[in-house]
Amino acid sequence: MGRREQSKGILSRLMDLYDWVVDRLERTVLFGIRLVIPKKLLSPHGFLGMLTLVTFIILGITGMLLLFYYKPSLTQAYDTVRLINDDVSFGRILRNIHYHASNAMLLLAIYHLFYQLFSGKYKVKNEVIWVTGVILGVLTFLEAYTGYDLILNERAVLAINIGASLTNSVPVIGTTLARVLLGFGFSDIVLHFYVFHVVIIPVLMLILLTVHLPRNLIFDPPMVAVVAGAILIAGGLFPVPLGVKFDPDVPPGVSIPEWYINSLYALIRTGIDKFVAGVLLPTLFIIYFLVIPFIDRSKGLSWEERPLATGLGIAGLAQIAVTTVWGFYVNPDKTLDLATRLVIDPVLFYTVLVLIIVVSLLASYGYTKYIYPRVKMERRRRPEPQVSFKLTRNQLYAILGSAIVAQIFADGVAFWSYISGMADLAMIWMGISLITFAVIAHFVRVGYEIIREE
Amino acid sequence: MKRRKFLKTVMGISGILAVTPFVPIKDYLITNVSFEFTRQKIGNINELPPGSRKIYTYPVTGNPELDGDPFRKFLLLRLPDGSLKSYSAVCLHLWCLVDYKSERNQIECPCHGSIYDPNTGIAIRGPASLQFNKTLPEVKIEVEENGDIYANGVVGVIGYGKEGAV
Ligand code: FES
Repeated sequence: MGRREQSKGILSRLMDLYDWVVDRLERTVLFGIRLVIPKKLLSPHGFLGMLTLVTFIILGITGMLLLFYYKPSLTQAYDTVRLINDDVSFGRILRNIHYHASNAMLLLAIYHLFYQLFSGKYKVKNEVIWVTGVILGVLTFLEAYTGYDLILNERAVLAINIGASLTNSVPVIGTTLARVLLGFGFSDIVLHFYVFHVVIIPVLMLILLTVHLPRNLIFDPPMVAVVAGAILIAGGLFPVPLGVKFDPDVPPGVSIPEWYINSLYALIRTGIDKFVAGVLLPTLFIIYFLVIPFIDRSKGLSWEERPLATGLGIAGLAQIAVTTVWGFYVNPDKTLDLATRLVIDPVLFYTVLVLIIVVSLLASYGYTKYIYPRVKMERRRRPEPQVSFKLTRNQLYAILGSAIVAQIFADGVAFWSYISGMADLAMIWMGISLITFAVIAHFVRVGYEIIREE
Repeated sequence: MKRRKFLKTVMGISGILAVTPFVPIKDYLITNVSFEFTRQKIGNINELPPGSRKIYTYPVTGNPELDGDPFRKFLLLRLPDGSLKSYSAVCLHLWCLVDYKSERNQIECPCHGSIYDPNTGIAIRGPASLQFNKTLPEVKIEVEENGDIYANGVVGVIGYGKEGAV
């Protein structure tokens, strides 16, 4: 017996140790969640939340690394970001991943929210998950907002200015609130935003995640790799600029904030009371989403059978889209002064926002009442088309083989570009390598199926 | 049953009493160490002929990082009629630094052309004048017999306006 034990190789011993540890870990909360790895290609709609979480993790890792160089101070903030971007090896790549992952996270979160809304997922006892999800969405927005202000360039100061004046505009408690949140002057602002961005908001998000994540989580390696690859490719194609360092003595050019605060900016630019435009209306908008599960009493789950929720959802989505696009609009007439060019006609603006609600509700009720019954009939008549397509084993090996070769090539180009100082090109090829990994991971899964059937 | 309720109440009261001493934590959150607008000498009237201005830092800390902050930059004006006025130099529009132009006797912002009345600090033209809050925060000024000028407190919120005064 003793001999046998000894003859075991190091590798199998390590495997034993691994099994032993996993056996113990299974008793912890770590395994209270069940990770489901899908066996075949699934629509990502079912796990958009997981993809959002993955971008959050990517942001956490790259963010921590950026902390090695970034300094939250009035005189050094911009220069340290420039240092990371221009001088620190691999810094440009990390900064771009961090930036584009934040955009991806916001987009995925919005997509996730509306998919859940239209598919009625908040029914069947998921109200808590829905409410924490909406709060997480708001926190994601604040996290992105505090993050992009840390660079202290002109755009950042524009956004800080918007945030500060909104906070101050809150009746009664506004000025005190501003003192707590922003402190006094730029040196405090940048330090406070740093603390919010790096510690307070992420910790709140992690706490909320414990009551937002469902017990069964779908983790799909190919789709995760596609998202990560897309972030890298976006970083290579559209590297985020440094912008112009803020200088209070130099007039800034026309500056439009990041797309996700554009709708807020548009609301403020209508010139009505700042508190109403920038605080009250957005708060009402958030409440609007929070209460949807509680006013949607319809029985069905499909969006076609829930005209109220569908109408409200479409209206919300359209309002976000319209205000965001409107926020980009600057009167092109250069003879006017800048302030006048930036004004948005309030009557037109708010009429459009109200009309959107009316039209969406009319449309969704109309659809459910008049069109949906006919569609339903027709669907019943037409059987679902069945597609079946089988790969042979050799075809599979051919795919896997060429994908590996392609990936080696992509890695080679990525390294070569990086060494030659072309970080953007390197990012694109790193992204391609990740997407090739996604292809391979998918076909390995197909391979498992083939083996099982044999 | 009654006794149990009593015990619970005692514990509840005790719990509240244990937390109450932490209420002043609000003083920690409302930061004030780095900028108390205490009395500080900012110049002498003899160095300021009528129709001139001086830019000064208030409150001075000695830390160049803090003293360079636009929020600590103020204008001390000697108007043509000889009177003294002092305002925050942070434009209420988008936080550029304003300056006094004696030729036109007005406070001007280099960025988007906001113009303030030097007698009142109220924006009379440009984007700042369109806002609800359009009056520059004003510094309370004291002049000693020997002509020394002292700043002693600010009315209003820097970067937001005198309207935000608490
Ligand atoms: S910042 Fe002064 S006018 Fe815009």
